Amino acid sequence: MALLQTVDLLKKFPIRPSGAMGRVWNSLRGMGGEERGEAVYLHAVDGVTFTIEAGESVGLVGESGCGKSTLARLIARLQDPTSGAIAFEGRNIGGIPASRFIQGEKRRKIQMVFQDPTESLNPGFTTFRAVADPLLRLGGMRSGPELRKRVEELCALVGLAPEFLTRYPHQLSGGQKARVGIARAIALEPSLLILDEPTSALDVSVQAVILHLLEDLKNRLGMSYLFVSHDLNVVRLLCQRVLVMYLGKIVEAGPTREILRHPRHPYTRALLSAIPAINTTERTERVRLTGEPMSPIDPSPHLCRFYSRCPQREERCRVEMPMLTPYPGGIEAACHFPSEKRENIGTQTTVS
Amino acid sequence: MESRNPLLAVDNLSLEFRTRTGVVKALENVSFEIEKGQTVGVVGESGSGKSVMSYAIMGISDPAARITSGRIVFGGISLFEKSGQELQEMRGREISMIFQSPRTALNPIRTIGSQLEDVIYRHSSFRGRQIRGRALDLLNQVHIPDPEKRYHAYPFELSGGMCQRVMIAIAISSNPWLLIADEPVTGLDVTTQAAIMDLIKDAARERNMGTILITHDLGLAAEYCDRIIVMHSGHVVEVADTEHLFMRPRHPYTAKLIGATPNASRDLAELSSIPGNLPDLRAELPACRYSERCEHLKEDCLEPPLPRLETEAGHLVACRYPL
Ligand SMILES: Nc1ncnc2c1ncn2[C@@H]1O[C@H](COP(=O)(O)OP(=O)(O)OP(=O)(O)O)[C@@H](O)[C@H]1O
Ligand SMILES: Nc1ncnc2c1ncn2[C@@H]1O[C@H](COP(=O)(O)OP(=O)(O)OP(=O)(O)O)[C@@H](O)[C@H]1O
Ligand code: SF4
Ligand SMILES: [Mg+2]
Ligand SMILES: [Mg+2]
Repeated sequence: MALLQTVDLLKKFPIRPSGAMGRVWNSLRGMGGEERGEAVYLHAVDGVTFTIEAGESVGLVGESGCGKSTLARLIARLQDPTSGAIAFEGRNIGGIPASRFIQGEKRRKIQMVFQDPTESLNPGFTTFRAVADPLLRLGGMRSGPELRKRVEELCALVGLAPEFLTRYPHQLSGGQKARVGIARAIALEPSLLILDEPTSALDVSVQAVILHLLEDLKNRLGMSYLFVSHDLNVVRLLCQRVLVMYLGKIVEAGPTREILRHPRHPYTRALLSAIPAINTTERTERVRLTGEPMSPIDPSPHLCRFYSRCPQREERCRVEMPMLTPYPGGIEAACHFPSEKRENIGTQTTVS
Repeated sequence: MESRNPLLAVDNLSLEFRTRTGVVKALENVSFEIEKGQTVGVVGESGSGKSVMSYAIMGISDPAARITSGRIVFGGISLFEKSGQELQEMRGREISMIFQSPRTALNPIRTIGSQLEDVIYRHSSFRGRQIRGRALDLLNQVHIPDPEKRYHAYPFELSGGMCQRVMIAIAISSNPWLLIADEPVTGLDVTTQAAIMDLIKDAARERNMGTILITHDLGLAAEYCDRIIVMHSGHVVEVADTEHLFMRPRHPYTAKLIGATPNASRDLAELSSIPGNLPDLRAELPACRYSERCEHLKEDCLEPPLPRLETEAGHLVACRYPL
């Protein structure tokens, strides 16, 4: 049984139209204007199905605004899905309203590191209080020397010296705040940890500390991760499997090594080719995407989401939505004209 | 060297914070210059003072902060000699900043369209309907899909990266002379990242805008910056042209930093952090703040003053025994 399974997860947000219409719509909103069908909907997560096994870490990559954080918040049960199922340890938790889930027993088993540490930390809490908070609320610990010891230990694990325990968020640097967020989230040793860009505010040295810590927690406690990151070099280090999202849909999924070696979907190829590198020989031929990204607002159910920018597109892509299809190597990709060409990104060592 | 007139000169800047448990010496004798049209990267460990330095340039100060030495000269004018009012006018028009945490820098209760319109109204000659046109154009340029429909969105309705991109649109809409971008593309996927960096690059070229690009991504710095400043514990430890810096780093910290960068071929076991922590900035510190972590430490490294050697033209290093 998978630790986590989502089936056809969907999240739509109603959108205010602009101008005079918007004003009318806004005024109607409180009075059931939505139900009268005047609203348009933004499809943030659109039919996402995937699993995470116990002890597995799964990477989630994709363009900014494609729905990664929304997907993360749905799974952490901070937002309610429009439809679809989320099973955690075999039980459907998708139907429990977010407001009630907060008090439930599963809460402590799913924890999340938020994308923007400034936004997610309480400005009135010192580092000590922020890290102690989940231990007190959900961990059954009480104030005292034991709590202090545990908090200090957690801060040390993420590389925060004791001097920072008495600081408030505004007295911390971006990377220091990010580490408070990580210490908080691992405090309860959850079975599923969702990390939304956890290392992007960190310098490479601290990043290495955090990546080793996550690897260690996985090996020692069997923790599972959903690791949202823009940095494929980092995903490669930590995640056995990776999901590539584009405009609300998973367009490619499979073992990280395989996908780096042989990406099938044209979007994945573009993504891999754009990785900046210090070393000029490591830079690959850029696939610069041209064309406008498609709007996520009421998108056509037949048109491939990548159509407007795809270098491979043909007539068929306009009339038939590509479905995830299995390929050798455990990869699934949603494209009518998947690439046959192998890449050698991320495998220099095996090539030379 | 020939006499030049840099766009920005930070000269011997030192800054401290008072806290309940002591004085944090966040910047000490920081000096560097930026030319018109130049893109300068600032890299360095988390907590090394990159954001604090940019706040100082912007004239934004925490009440607990105190500048203890130095000057900041922008376009030939010393910023500390300006009145609060003059400074206020200058920043936003001539200096723009993209903050590290964009969602919190945007006004949460106003739509992104109206926030953008305000800035355009204040800093350009566009009026009436033109303003909306310019705002939509900018949103388009930062790759917000369907800008007409997203115009009335509130910050919480946008993704993290979209807020970042709206901030970028706001920052460049005033056609500044100097753009300070604190982790502007952090967390953005690489394709969007490339598009945004191209946009900043174009603005730099077309309008001769100077850019300070603060980033943890050395790959990004290597690709987009003319010069790089390396910071460690409130000190500038090395400044050099990008190519020189990566080809031949002279400060031991810079070398370690480059060595710790994940790339396409290393695996996790090979990835190591730089041993030792940043020193406690409240304590009495030796001249070289890296000394405790340094493999090449010699006795006199601890003695002031911290040297500032020019190992070759334009390559400065704050180390007595450069590599
Ligand atoms: N108000 C404050 N009071 C006390 N210390 C502060 C305050 N603001 C910042 N600091 C400290 O000053 C140092 C420099 O902070 P700064 O935010 O400039 O770091 P940074 O280089 O931008 O790091 P990051 O990459 O993590 O954002 C840090 O150690 C931070 O904890
Ligand atoms: N509360 C909301 N109301 C309306 N739209 C929303 C809301 N939350 C998110 N969205 C929209 O859903 C889409 C997906 O947003 P999400 O934050 O999941 O993206 P993301 O993949 O995490 O992007 P990034 O990499 O930039 O953080 C975006 O178009 C965003 O504007
Ligand atoms: S289905 Fe067609 S448009 Fe979509 S990604 Fe594949 S080739 Fe491109
Ligand atoms: Mg996000
Ligand atoms: Mg910072």
